[in-house]
This record gives sequence, C-alpha cells and structure tokens, in this order.
Amino acid sequence: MHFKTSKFTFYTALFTAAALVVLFILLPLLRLITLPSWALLLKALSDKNTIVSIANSLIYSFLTAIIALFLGVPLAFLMAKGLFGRFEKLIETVIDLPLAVPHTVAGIALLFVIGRRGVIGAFFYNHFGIKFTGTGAAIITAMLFVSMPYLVDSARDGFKDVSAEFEKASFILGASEFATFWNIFIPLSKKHIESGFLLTWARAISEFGAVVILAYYPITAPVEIYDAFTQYNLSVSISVAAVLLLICLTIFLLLRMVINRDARP
Amino acid sequence: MRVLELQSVSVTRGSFSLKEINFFVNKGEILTVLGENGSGKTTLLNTIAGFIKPDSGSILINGRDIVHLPPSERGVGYVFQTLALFPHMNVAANILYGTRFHKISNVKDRLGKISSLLRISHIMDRYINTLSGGEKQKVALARTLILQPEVLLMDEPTAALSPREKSRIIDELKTVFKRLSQTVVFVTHNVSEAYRIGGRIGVMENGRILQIGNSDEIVYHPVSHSVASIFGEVNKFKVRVESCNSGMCSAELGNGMVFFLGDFKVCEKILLFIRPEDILLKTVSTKTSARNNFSGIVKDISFAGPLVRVVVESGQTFIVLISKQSFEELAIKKRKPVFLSFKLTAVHAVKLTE
Repeated sequence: MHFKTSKFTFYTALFTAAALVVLFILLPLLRLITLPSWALLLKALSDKNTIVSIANSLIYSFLTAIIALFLGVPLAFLMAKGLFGRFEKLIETVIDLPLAVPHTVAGIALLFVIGRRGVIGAFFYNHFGIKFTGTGAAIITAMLFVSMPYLVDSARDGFKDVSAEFEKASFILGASEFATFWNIFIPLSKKHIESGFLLTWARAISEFGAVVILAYYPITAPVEIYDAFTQYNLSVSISVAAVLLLICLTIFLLLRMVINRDARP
Repeated sequence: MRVLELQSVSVTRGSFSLKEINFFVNKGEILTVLGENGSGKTTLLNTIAGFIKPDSGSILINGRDIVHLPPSERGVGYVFQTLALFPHMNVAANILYGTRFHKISNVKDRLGKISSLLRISHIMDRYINTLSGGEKQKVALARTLILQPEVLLMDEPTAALSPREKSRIIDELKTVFKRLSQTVVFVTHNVSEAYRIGGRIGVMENGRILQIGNSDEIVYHPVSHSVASIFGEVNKFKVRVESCNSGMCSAELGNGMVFFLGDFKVCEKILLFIRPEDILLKTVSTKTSARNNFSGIVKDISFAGPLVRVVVESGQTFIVLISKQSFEELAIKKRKPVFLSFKLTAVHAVKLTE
C-alpha cells in the first residue's frame, strides 16, 4: 500500500485503537464498582450468602490452581522436552481443547463422568455412596477442566526457554534428572509457572458455565450473582458482583506485586 | 600415563558422522583439537562427555571403558562454549553446584583453593550477569575444576571474549592447568590459539582426525593438503618423482627441478607443500646456499596485513609471502622478473592419497 501517512498519523491511529481496547475493558468494571451505593455494598457484605459464596469461590479456585500446579507442571515439562515424540501435536491439541469448548458443554460432558450415572461417578456412588455433584469436589473438577490449559501452556513455554546447555552442565556436574529438574528447570521457569498459576486461579474464580451444571451448591460467587439476578433484583446482584470484582482485583494486584518483587535482575 | 584414550570411536548424527577416532591424552597434557566449524569438534566432546552414544569403539579413562556410563559418572569436566553458568545462582552457588552430588569432605578448602588460584575470591557473591567475559570464563572453570575431573573438556572457551582478554586468558589457563597437572582436551577453530596453547594438536576435518602432533610437525610435515592449508595458504604441487637416492629426491616442477627429502619410488606421483613464507624472493640471481632455485615473472601483488603476497609465474604458480620492508627494498613490480629460492627442508613431500 502506498498511502502517504506521516509517522504522527500512523501512531495516532495505533494509540486510538489501543485506548479503545483499554476503555472497553475498564469502563464496565469501573462503572460496576462505582454504581452501588455504600449502603448497598455494606448490606451485601453483611449478607451471609454473599460472604459464603465469595469465600467458596476463592477457596475452591485456589485449590484448583494448586492441583493444576502439581498435575500440570510435570506434563508441561514432558511436553517442553519433546518426550511425547510423535504424539506431541496430539497431546498439545488435547490440552488446549477446554479453551475451545463452550463451558456449558464442558459441564455436561463432565456430568457424564462424575455424575451419579457417570463412568466414574457411578462406581463411587454404587460402592461407597459417594456423590460428587453438588460438592466442592465437583466445583474443583469443573474449574480444573476449564483453567488447566493456562498453567500447562505457560509452564511449557518456560521450560522450553531453558537452554539445553544448562541441563547438560547440570548432568556433567553430577546432578540426577530430578535434581536438574528441581534446581535448574523450576527456578529458571519460575516466572512462567507463577504467571500460569495466576491465570489458572483467575480463570477458575470466573468460571460459571461448567460449575453451575455440576454444582449449583455449595454456591460460588458467579452462581450467587446469577441467582440474585434472576430471582431477586438487579441491585443485590450488582452489590455482590462489585464486591467480588474488588476482591479479585485486590488479590491480583497484590500477587503481581509479589511476583515482580521476586524478579532478579 | 594415558588418562583419556579413544579407540576407533565412530558416531552417527543424522547425515554427519565421526569416523574411527583414535587418540590419547597423557596425564597433565593439553591436547588441542583444531578444526573448522562443522568439523565435528563439539560432537567429539559430547561423545566423550556421554551426551552422545557412539556406534562403536571404546572411550577409556585411566584404562576403564566408560562408554556405558552416564555423563554424571564419567569423571569428565566440561566447559561449554556458552559456559552455561546458572543465572539464578551467585558465583559461589555456581561453583559449589556439583559438590552437592559428590562425596567431598573438604568442600570449603577446595572452594578457597580454586577461587584463589583463579583469582575470583572477591566475586563470590555476585550474580552471573554482572561479570565480565573473563570472570565468567573463570567461574565456569572453577565450577568444573572443584570436582577434580580426570579430564577437562573445553569447547571454544574463548569464543565470547575480546581479543585482548583472549590472549591473557589462554596464558592464565595454561598456568592453572600446569599447577593442577590437569588433563585437558581443548577445542578451537583458531590456529593461533592452538599454537599458543603449545601442546599436541589434533587436526579435525569432516568428522576425522587427520593428524596429531606438535605444531611444528603439523606445519612442516602435514599428512595432506587439508592439514597443510589449516595454517593458511600453502603452495601445493603434484609432481612425479624423477630420482630418489638415499633420502634425496628430485622432480620436475615448472621450468626447473625441485629437490627434497623423502623416500619414494621413481615415477611415483606425490604432493609437495611449500609454505609461502619459506620462499626467499630476490630481484637478482645471486648464489645462495638454498638447493632450490627458480626464476619467474611477478603476476600479482596484494597486501595481507603486515605481509605482502606475491604471485610468481614460473611454469608453475608460486605464492610467496614477504615483509613490507623487503617488498619496498626490492621494489617489486608486476611483470618484473624475479628469482625464488628455498631450502631442501622447506619442501614437504606427501604420498598422493587424495
């Protein structure tokens, strides 16, 4: 193309687009926080249901992120080292599938696994009388399914960035495979793993579709908001939503600060 | 005593291969492996270190075959081209890394000794990205030497250094290795570095070690043209032996006869190498003690750093290197007649195998 555009026009156009994106994200969130009156916010905060739902969301999502960490890091390491051989592309696709599946679909699919008549759920129900649906375990299952790819992808990229010569150096200095993994790969991929953990946690907190199908109760914040929105009135749901938003923002700002403080030159 | 010995080691890596590598390194010796990029030097080191499994052959350390051992158990130290210092650890942690995996009772002693020997005691708390190229070099060395490896492998260790740091580091390395009587295999593509290290040199090309010997043997008795040309441009002539009597041979070359030492059959086709700096160039035909004398015409003159490269046509094309000073004194010009002379011993004859 041969438009005669000056540098100024070019960058003005780019910055305009960028400003639109930032506004697009910030405007609804800021509007939501500033909408409810203090009285309504306090009322929402004093409502036991609201507090419980927010606590549930935080706890289950955090547990989800922890589980994702322990299950996802080994997988990410194997993927980064190319140890799946010719199945590599297949595994990669499978890991990222939850990103493409509508979350209600994921919820229904999971129901047929851990539900009372699901392949695993039936076994536990028939032999031990254990029911998964409607429990914290079901919430975590739903959250894990949709948020796991973030941790795996991020950790895998981190491991891939570790130069092969560091690994060789570690081996020749006498370290075992595990010692090398623990002393070299984990610390050198720390940033990637941490940000993967944060993304997974954030994704888990925000999950609604899969969770609501597997466990309406114990109630989590997104379900509580939806519940209030459909059954009571907008003002209650606004208050709960605003409180949840504030708490999430605070946590992520704090965590980002902690992670950045850790960063070595 | 042979600390490291390779016996017909062959390795295949895709389309590249190491072919029948045989050599040994004695206790306290530095063997330099000299070769172009892609000649197989790093593959050779990786095979000795155990990162690559050879197809066949044995690798002995102190007489024991280590081919089946993993890298961590071979008693081999390796300083990588990139040095591979761990960026998330400080200097002390880097040096001590390997000691965690070995039973060493006097770790502190060893750390003190090695860091004072390499003069890096003052940087123990620094992180790697704050170090100079030379300091990094020494930390990588200390990290390897603290484990007292039987053999130390060094892969182009000065590649990332400035020319000034380079020559200083080489001298320091030599001193350190001597003090520790450390056995070393030192890989480089730099001829002057190989010279400077001084021990035996193994010339490598296309996955083969073509010749091993001290630098004089390699410069003056190259086994082939590729070895001869490693030390720069060389005159190469294919001739037919005319006579050979008690070690003194002659052959027709260009518009004259060339005399050289050797033991060949009459009529045998051989290769002669004459280093361009070993040929004396004059503008008048005076009698010299040199056995070989040719006359010719200057065809081309070009400047090669501090030297002048003169191409002389004498039935055969000779390349001669002379100093700038003699170039000016002799007032050499194109198309002028000149005389060449060189000693019997300046001619290196090799059986034609290529």
